[in-house]
Amino acid sequence: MSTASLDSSNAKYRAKFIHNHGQKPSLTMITPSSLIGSLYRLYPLLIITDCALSNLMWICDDLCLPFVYLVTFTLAVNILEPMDSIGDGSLWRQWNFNQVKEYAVNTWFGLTSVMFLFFSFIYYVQSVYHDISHTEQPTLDDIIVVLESVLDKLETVRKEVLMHGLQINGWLSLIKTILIMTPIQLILMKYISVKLYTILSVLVLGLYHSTWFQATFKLFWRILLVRKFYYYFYYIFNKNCISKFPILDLFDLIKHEDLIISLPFTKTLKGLEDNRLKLFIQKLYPQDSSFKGLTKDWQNKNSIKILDVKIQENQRKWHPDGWTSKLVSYERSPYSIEINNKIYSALAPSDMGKLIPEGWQWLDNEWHCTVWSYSNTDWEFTGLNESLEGCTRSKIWSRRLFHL
Amino acid sequence: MSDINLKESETRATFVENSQPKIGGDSTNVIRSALKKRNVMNMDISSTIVSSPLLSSTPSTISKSLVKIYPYLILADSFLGLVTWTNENIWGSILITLAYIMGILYFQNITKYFGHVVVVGLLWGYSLLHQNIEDIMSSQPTLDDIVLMMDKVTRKFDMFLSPITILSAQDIRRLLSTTIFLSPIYVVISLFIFPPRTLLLVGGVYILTYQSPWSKVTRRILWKFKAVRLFVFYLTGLDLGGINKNQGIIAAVHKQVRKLSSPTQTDVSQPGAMPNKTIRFTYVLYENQRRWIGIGWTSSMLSYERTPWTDEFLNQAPSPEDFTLPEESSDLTWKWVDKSWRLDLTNDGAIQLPSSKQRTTASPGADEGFIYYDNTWKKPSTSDSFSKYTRRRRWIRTAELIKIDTEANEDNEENSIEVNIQSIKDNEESKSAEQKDNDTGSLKRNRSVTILEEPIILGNDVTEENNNSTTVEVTETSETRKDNLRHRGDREEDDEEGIEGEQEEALGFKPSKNRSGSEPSGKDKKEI
Repeated sequence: MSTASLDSSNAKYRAKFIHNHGQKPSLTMITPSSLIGSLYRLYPLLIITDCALSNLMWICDDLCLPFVYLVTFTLAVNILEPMDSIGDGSLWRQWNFNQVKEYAVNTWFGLTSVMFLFFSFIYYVQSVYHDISHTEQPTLDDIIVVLESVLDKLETVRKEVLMHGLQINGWLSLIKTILIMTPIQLILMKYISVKLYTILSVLVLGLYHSTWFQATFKLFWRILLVRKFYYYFYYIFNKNCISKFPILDLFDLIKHEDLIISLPFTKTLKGLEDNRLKLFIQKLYPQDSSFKGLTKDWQNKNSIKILDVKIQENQRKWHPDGWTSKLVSYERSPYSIEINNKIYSALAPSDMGKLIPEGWQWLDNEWHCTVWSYSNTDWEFTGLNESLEGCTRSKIWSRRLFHL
Repeated sequence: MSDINLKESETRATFVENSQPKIGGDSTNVIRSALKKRNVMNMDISSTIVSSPLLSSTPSTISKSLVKIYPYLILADSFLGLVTWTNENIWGSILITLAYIMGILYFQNITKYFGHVVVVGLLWGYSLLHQNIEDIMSSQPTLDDIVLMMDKVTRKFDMFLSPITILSAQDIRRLLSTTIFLSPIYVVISLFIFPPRTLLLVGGVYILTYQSPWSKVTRRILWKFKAVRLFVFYLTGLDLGGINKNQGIIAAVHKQVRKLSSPTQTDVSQPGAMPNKTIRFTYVLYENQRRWIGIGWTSSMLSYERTPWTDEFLNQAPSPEDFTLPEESSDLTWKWVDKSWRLDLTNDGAIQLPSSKQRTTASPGADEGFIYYDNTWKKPSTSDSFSKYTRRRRWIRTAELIKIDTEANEDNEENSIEVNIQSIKDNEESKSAEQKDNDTGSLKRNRSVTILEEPIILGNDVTEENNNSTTVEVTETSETRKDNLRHRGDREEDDEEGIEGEQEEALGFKPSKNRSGSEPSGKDKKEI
């Protein structure tokens, strides 16, 4: 009697324990069946893609496999070697046993490698389909796990390929890149054969996503010289990106038409004097109001020109010192201003006010600044709070001038 | 009355004042209201997305990953469309094939002068692809779109892999060993006739155009030639249908049954009695093995010789695990009499056993009951020696054919006869039933290469009708009625295919009836 009750309490306890184990309830019960059906049918494709990607990234369980594949790929290149001597029959006219032997061995290796790759693909696909239909059916959670793993890998591959602005934007930079690489290519082809070139590119392609390659890559990237070299070339292609000189002051800024906003000079403003006018405009247009859509509507002589100066203060986190305004030489200056997506150097806000062009007056009494916004090393916004990848930050100082 | 009027005019007046843009005066208000309107409009656009019923019932973890996979699905869809020639515009597929041909033919020059262009172009394409992906992500697809796309991709993918998935693991092993075995010949061919690049070119084009309509038609025409079939058989080592099709073990059984059940063939003195008898067959499978130096005895055979499992006429047969009894038409069914396959320890009388020992066993040792042959399956002997490279043993299992309908059940007990399809020599068992000995003899003589109209491997529409037309002979009335029934069944199947095709069309597929029919029927045939 007592043991029975103990048992039952045990059972209860265990049941509870398992239920509250921090696992979510199975997805199968709460998902529409049509979706489950589609996902189930997609499962083989997902598994095959996942396997291919993990081989490409050298993260599968058996590291021998990608190695074997890489070796067979390099051997398969043998097939593409030209055999002009066969085509025109010169191989048979000047019979050279060594040449024939070498050629036969190469061909055999090449053909066998191609066959091996082809059959291993077929065999893998076949075994996937066989396993799915003959062994225990996958649960929805299994499918979702594979789906997420595929997505993860695709994202990693994307990041690794398009790292550090490797992407080519537009036709112009494409043509520029090709033009710059043409002499390199021609010189390279003088010294190495087509076969070696192909083998090298196959090797780079196969190893690029491996951990070792990426780790070496990152080590090199830590060297400042490498980065300077890289960005030197980078700015050749993206000229209108950062301009360090000259450092802009207010006199330069008023020349930029894009920064100046014209507002209607209304009757109510007409009789007002300096200080009251300023106050009135301040009242009409508070500092955080936006002027979007207004610039072109009232471009006549009777207008107030307003120059909204927005200076970015940039900082970088250095390991021992924390946040300082010391930046790397190839990137933007500590104080910068952005005009038409191009980043110029600018004076610090405290120096900006020293010299004001004639006819212009400060509209706001003081500089207004936002909170720090954090970004990664390429100045891509990561969030408003400090994070691990956020090693740069910037905030915007803004103050407006007006001109009647 | 006047009060009401006044009120109306008041409200209207204020309304007009607010909405009419006035330049000067109260322009701030105007601007502000304009700005507000703009904001409201933006908010409207973002908040009017209609939520699908699927979305509300799907867990967010799944829908999140699905949204992320959607662009890749679209990419996979267009790529598979190119490879399977199912895109609306087949010029893309043609272009890809041409590009492949160009790439292989002018590989040297392209790499030499345009290697960097290819590399840069690939990188550029990749970044474009990802821009495209981001665009798709921001276009806010509905979950229903995603599910539809998923189905589309799956269909195309299955179609693309259909020639692979009908192969069994054993087939692939056989294919690989055959190819490796033949590789010296390929090397010689490439030395004397054409360079290996041509092989690569032909192979690649074959794969790329496998699903194209022209390729299908060409294959179908070529398959009508026996020489082509034999060539493919020796090249791949696989019986892709058409070589030995009509002489498998089950076909033989079918013939036997028909002969027994049709009144013309049976004894005229007992009309109508034969169909009611229980018919027993002993199915015989031969297990063949070959010795590989360094490995020992395995069931991997050479491509041109018999398969690991055969019937007594050396036709390919399924292994005992996969062996399923054939399905008879309408009112007849097969049922096993023996519980499992039993090894014939005498190996069809060739091995002498002491009379005390049992003649068959269900769980033999690995080397029991074999007869050993030399490399070319000659010089049989019961003992293994150095010159013996092949061996085989015999498995048997008895099954009976039962009538399902009630009339037959009444008097089937007394008339049961045992039928045994045996090999060449008569043994005691087969002598007991004299009648079918003649039948087996005629069966043996019937061995010939018969050619089916449609091959399996080519993925063309192998319909059941063809099957029937070759196996079913026109006999007396009862048989023909069955045939009619069967044909009607086929027609219904066709109708189903038609519906499927329509569905595919709705999904943006080209209506290709070939595919939908080919795979399952191919599988069916394989089992036979």
